[in-house]
Amino acid sequence: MKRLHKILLTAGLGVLTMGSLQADLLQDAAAADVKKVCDVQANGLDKVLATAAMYNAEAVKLGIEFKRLGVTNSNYVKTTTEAAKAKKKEVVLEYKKKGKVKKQKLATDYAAWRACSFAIRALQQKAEAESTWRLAVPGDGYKY
Amino acid sequence: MRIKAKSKGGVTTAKVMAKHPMMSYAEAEKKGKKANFITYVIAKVGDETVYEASTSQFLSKNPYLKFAFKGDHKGKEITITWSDLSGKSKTDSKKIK
Amino acid sequence: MLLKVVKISALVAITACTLNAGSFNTQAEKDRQALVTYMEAKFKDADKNRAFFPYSSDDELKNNFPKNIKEKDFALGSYAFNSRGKSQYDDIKEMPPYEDAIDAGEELYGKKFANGKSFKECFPKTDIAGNYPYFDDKKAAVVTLTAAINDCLVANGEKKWNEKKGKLAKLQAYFSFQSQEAGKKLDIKIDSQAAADAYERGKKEYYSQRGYLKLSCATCHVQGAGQRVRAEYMSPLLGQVTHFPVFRLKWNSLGTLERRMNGCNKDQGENPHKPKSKWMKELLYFMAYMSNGMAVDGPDIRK
Repeated sequence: MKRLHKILLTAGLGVLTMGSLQADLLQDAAAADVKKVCDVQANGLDKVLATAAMYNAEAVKLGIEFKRLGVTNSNYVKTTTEAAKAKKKEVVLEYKKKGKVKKQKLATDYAAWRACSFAIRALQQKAEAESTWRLAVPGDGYKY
Repeated sequence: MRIKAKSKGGVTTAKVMAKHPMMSYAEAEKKGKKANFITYVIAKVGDETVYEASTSQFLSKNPYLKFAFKGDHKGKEITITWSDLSGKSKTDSKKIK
Repeated sequence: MLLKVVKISALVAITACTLNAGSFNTQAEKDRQALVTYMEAKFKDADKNRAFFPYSSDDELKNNFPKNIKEKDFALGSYAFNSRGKSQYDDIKEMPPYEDAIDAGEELYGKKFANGKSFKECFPKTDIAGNYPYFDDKKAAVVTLTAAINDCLVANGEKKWNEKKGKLAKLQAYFSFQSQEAGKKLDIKIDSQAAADAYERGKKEYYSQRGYLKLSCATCHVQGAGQRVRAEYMSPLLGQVTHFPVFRLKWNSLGTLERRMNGCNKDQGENPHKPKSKWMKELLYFMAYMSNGMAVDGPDIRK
């Protein structure tokens, strides 16, 4: 019985820590100044991409990653990281549209900024929506 | 072919939708296929021709035609035939309501 | 005396319980009524209520918007308030392009699986389109018609179908048409706390902004209903799900509600949520309740 209690307690604590870790990333993103954190000139390409990867992983887990003109943010993160490693000045993103492969060319620095800002903004919006969503509901916060 | 035909107030109206790719010359060239479209449509009630048209690539895919002719033909059959550029033709009939 | 008190309190307790049992949809009903009130107020006289239509032209407000649009009229979507579009829609309805799909759906319904059974076992009645989505208390999850069809296939050893188009859409067209012919209405039930919670989650997702363009579903289909994106009118949430599966002229083919929802996600700038995800199912549950009581009028044509 005591053992069962112990197991339950540790499991409970484990769940709590996991939960708070997740909440941490969301809170971090919500508080982050995107322009500062994703600035490639100030922080360097590698750091910005690492930030992007970390936050985007969270966005993907929550199901809220951005997809812009056929390119998902995971695509931005992955392809730009590869291009940065190969010291390329330009990133070529491939995506499928109606079965055909299409290409989007971006400067590596810009692509990194994009990957980072997309990742953080997705999380920021989720946090913001918690307090703003009711304002659009007729019969609730929406006044007309 | 989907056919709907109804007689009302001495006039019979028929609506026909043919199944055909109606590929124009321009589209055929782009896709590397052969152009083919309906070139002729004729509708008959009994021996009487009630509608006849020469058509061309200006009609869209699965063309929809609507026409009316005089007379109360309730209970009779309307028979519609189309032929296309490749020489193929199709005939379908439906009872007029 | 004591016995009498006990009997009365027992009776009161039982009555309270039964009354409560029907109250899980109270909030949902309030929400739905509020939506109807809003839509009817907004479209009562578009020309007079210009505050709702800041970017619309004089001409369209005066000449294109009919007046006094009522709850059931909204089932036509944007055609309810776009007279010019409506006349084009009426023309196409003379010989709708989805009729073949209904026939194909009927065939699929009766076609036997490898194990000798068919959809008839899973769906003994065909006029059931208005009963979905529903909340399955045992599974503790929302069941959409799309999911139910695929569950039937899997249970009978068949492969799942594409949830957005093709065979599944055709079978849905048949169910929808049968429901329409039988005069069925949307009959969405919220019968438990878990169901009410699922509804609330769906509602929250509907009104939360998302994606690169930071749009919520409501931005376009509640506040934006009746406004235009370039030349296209945005349809209202009220009556939005009654006419699916839809033959969309843009696709030139039939698609399920999930197919359209994916398109909406992309329009918002977010990676589309999968049709079988909890997110999608709960959102559709909410959306369906918003049109609860309206007639099933699928399949239909839209741009």
